[in-house]
Amino acid sequence: MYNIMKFLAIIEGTIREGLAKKTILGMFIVSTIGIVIAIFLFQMDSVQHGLLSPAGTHMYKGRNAPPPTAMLGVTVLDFVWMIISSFLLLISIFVGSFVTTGFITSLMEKGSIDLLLSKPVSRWVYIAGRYTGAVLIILVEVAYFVAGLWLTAGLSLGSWSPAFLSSIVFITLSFAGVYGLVTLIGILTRSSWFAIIIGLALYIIASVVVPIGEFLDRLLNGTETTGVLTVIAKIFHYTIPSQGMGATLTKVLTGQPADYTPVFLTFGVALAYLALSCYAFSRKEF
Amino acid sequence: MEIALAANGIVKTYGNGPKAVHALQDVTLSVIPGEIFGLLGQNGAGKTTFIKCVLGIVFIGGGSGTVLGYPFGSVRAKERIGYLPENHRYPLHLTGHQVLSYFGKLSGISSPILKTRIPETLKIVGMSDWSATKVRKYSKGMMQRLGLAQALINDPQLIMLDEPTDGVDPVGRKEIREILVRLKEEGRTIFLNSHLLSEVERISDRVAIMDHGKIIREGRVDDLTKAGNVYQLIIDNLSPEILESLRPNLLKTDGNTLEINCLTPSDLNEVLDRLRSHGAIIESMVPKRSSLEEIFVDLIKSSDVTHV
Repeated sequence: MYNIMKFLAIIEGTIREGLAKKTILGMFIVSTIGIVIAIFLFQMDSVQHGLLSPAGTHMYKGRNAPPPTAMLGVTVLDFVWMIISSFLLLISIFVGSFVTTGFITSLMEKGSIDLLLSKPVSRWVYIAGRYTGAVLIILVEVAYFVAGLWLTAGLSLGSWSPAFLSSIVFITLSFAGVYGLVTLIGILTRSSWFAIIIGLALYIIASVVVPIGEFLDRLLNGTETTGVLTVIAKIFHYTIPSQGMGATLTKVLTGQPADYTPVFLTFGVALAYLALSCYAFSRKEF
Repeated sequence: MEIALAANGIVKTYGNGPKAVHALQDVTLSVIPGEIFGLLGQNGAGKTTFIKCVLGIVFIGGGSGTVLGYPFGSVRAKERIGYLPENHRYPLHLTGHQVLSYFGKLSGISSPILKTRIPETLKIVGMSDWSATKVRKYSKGMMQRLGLAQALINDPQLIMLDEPTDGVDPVGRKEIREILVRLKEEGRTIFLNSHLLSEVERISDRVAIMDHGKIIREGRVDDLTKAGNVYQLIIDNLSPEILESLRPNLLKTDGNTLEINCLTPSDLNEVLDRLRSHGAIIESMVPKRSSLEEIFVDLIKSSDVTHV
């Protein structure tokens, strides 16, 4: 109870700090503008008709090949949700990390850290509290935008897609995963810029490293078998959080059978990075 | 008697090899409950590092220490410690009230208690009228007062202050001194880090002087500033005969003021008898004291010679 109160105080402090930042307020304004535009668009007959029609008929109109099985029973609106969710996933990772990394590095600024560490709070609680506060901010931002669009579509078009609503969880978890890595780098380097650049660079590299490893193995060995480089690439790929989350989300939104391994992996890796961050902070001298 | 703070051979070194900085070297000192203890030293002497060791902000490299009965850095001890760091920074988007609420909660104080505790603490430091103002609008002196309020929010038993009057105007300094004396009267222990010697001298019971990470002198302010067996006398009707009668003990004259050296109380009484027999009218007589500043400068100079 005693520690929970302190933990909640740190989360509250983080949210207050977030609200004081113009960027987070700006993200809310942009989300609101997006929702307002959607309200207008969804009122238009042509848009309503287009969005609710089967995706295959539109996209494969005039082509010789029939639409793939994946598109059967999928509406254009489902595709719109897929594009918006994928875009939002990347935005939350990149912009979200950019906006929230300061929560960790500002904690360690001279004049602030001495004061905090003089309080009867275990060091790891600061990191856990700041991390949770940042994830909550992103959760609220994403939920506001997604739920706003979802509600608008439901009321205007009568389409209540639970899959689109579930993207809130996927997007927030993707951010939480990368933010765990960024937090660790932030603590080790005490630099927001280093944390953002290195963290996001690792995320991008991990996204493309497996095909590159396979290609190099094929080039070097001349066979299709999995070589050393592919194995190393896969290890690296899976130790960087939020890999494959976009693909899983896409499948969920288009109603295809989805592999949830990336979700569990991201959750586990995010926790591991958070634990490492707490440990690194506990051992650090200021 | 329980010791509020006990350091025994504390060692702290930053870095390794030839570039290592020996911030604290075998620091041993103790602070008695209910006293104001001043740790004096030049900038870079190791005063702040010592406080950081006590609070667990940095980890000690050797020796041992307890604060309020717990090892240095213990969370349990910190529940009863208030700390005002040097160059402290508060989130600028918060008001004074919100700052105290935040740090109060971190100290484990519940919201209902904070509702009464925050106005009380702001009143102590004379900041009641500024509680709803954002910290970014505070002057340096106001920030220092808020810092002091923050250090008092948990009703601490031990208050550790690092240069508490830094950047504060003379009136503000006097007020802070008065607050510290009041806190001492309430039975709290105060550990003061400062290079403003005259201020420390006015309020401290005991001091330690630190130089190059070492404690070079520790003791009661009265004892440290007492200049051996020298007494200052003011004689109303000073004459050459009177001066002549004092010759073996006389050290210095300045107008009606004399400085005499008496090794024992009987020696002193014998001098007084001599003065009276020559019809001298003694206005006052006090043991001569050096200022803490003089003691400090002498010690640092001799320490520097040793280091050279």
